[in-house]
Amino acid sequence: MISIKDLDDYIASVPPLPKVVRDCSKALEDGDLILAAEEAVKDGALMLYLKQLVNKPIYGFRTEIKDPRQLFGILGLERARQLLYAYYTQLLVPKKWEVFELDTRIFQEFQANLMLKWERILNSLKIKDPVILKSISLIPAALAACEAIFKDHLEIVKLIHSQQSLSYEAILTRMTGMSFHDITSKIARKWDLPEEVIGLMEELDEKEFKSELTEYLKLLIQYELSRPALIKSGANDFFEFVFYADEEILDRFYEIISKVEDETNG
Amino acid sequence: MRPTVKNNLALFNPSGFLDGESAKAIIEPHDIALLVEKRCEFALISLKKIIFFNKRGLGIIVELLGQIQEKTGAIVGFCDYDYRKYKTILEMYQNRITFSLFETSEIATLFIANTSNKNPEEKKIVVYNDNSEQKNHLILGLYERGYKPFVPKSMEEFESCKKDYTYIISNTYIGSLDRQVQVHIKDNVIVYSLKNFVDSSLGEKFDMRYHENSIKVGFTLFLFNAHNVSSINAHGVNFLAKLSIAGAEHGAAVAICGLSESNITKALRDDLEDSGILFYPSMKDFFDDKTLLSGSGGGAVSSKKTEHITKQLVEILPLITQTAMHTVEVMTQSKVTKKFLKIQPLTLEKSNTMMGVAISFYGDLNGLLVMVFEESLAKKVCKIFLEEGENSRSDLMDALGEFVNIIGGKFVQQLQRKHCKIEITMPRTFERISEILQHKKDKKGAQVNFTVDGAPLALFLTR
Repeated sequence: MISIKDLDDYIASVPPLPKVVRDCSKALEDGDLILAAEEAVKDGALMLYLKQLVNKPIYGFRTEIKDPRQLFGILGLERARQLLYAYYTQLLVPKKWEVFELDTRIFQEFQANLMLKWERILNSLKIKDPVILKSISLIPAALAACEAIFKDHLEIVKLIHSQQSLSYEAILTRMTGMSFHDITSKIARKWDLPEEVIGLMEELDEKEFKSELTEYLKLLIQYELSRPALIKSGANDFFEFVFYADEEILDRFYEIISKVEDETNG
Repeated sequence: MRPTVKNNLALFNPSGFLDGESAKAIIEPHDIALLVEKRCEFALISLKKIIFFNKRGLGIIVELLGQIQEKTGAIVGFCDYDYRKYKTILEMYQNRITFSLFETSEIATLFIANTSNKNPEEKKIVVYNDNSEQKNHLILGLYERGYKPFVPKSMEEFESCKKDYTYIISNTYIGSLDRQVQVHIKDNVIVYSLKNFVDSSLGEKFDMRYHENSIKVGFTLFLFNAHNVSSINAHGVNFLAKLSIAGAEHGAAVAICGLSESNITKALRDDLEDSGILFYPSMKDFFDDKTLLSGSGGGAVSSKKTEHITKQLVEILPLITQTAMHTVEVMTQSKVTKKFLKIQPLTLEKSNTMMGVAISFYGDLNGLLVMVFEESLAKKVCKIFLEEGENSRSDLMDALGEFVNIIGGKFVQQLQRKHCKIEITMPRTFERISEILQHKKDKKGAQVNFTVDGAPLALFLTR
């Protein structure tokens, strides 16, 4: 079955960030949107990804955004940083999903929904920290990691999942003692991402109440995993969160989310 | 979402949010096909990992569960909830629950018939439920599977002893028992409970076929308990007046209690009285009126035409016989021996110690089931429903009615698996066997006589 060595091998196989992406990221850290756009143009895959994502209905742009400078200009620094993080995750995404019945479209929508709604939650909580804002982009990395780790043991994992009604995370933890957030944190370290991002990932696994923010984050992840497409894909039963959210947090969360969805749909 | 299927229990394990959008994806047509193929007895949605649900989400799931129930005859509902979720569900459905609720999937497993069950009597189970009908169903269900649950007499006793038990069954409901307008039976009087504002919606909520069949089975007194009614308007009054006039044709009387100047105008009260409805200040006053109650003995099957047993009824006779025999065997721990089966009018030896219960069923199939017990046997089958020590004959009759009601409920479930939908009336009990079919003594049916430890038991099925 899956061993710690398998996980180490997987982390070792995660590609380092391409130079273009690192340069683009540096330009954004320096607050230079024009340079960031120029760097991004050098990587066709990065530009294609950014265009696909920002032109999703949830971002609400009426005309298609094609020009790189226009794209970075419209996004602004914070969102551009967030989207670049999302692209990091994209580097882990398999060409063909086997554990989960996902495709590029569903996965990208999952990413986009998480990012935009997380931004609205932070606004509502009056949290302005750009590191916390962009950390959400890494969450889908856990799905991609799960796919890669379980792919070679598909039959047995599916059998355990269907007979024992264990989440994928519980299966991994029982086999290796590690959670998907541990793996995501390791990947984040490999990519030299800030410690705050890694810290937030690790808080998701805490078995006691850490902060309201962590509860909102868990709620958002679980909310997005409750979408019909993700339920059908099998990803609904992915994480093994322990929730401490009280009714007040739940009501506020639902209020924020409903507002975003009303705006998107209406 | 593929359910986990173990020991005839199919369990769906959704996580996160259950709302109008996500609920549709939980049970899909191929999942229903799987459950049909696996012949699951139970199909439940685990609420363990559900953080939030709303009425729309729950409504969609209940509708999908209804489809499973229709195709498989399985018991459907929810499990793995805490008290907060349980209360929310009850409030959402205003206690009119048509599905089942099990505190945990382990508790649900206790009620599965075809499961390996080693040393059931050693399992430490405690059962407490305010609703006596539910409590009795739970207890019988457990006894049938060989368990010996402890049943505390009061909430206080339950609270103090529950820590000593492995299975604590309190907030569990076996579904499909409650009707739109809540109904129960007391001293052979059908009591309908009304609440809130009574208006034209009463006509929509009221199960008229159930009422008509209750008259058919021999009930002649119907009491509307209006203690929880805030107000009643002309439409509500009209409906009750029509019900009273229609019932009078069959010798049935309608009474109402709990109405006062604060919730009904004098003019409307006069209208009700003009239609023959009897007014009582309280339930107690009604049940203290022995003159009225002594005249409540209508016989079963009061329809004017004499209709005999049909081919369809004969076809389902083995199913009814087996269900009844099995339930009696479970409760008495004695072998039930069949003596004979004859198509004839109900023929019983004259006896003062025989007592009967009649239940009418209607829907895809219409009929009347009468069971006649010798008193010692009645005491034996109802032992679990009765308090320890001395019980009055009236207590025994109520318990026997409940026992036959449970047989009826099981029969409904089994027919549903054969895609035949029926409903049953409340059990009408007869202290003297001469009262049964008193106006239709020549009516033919299938009579099966049994003996249980030498005591006679008769089952009579007719139209």
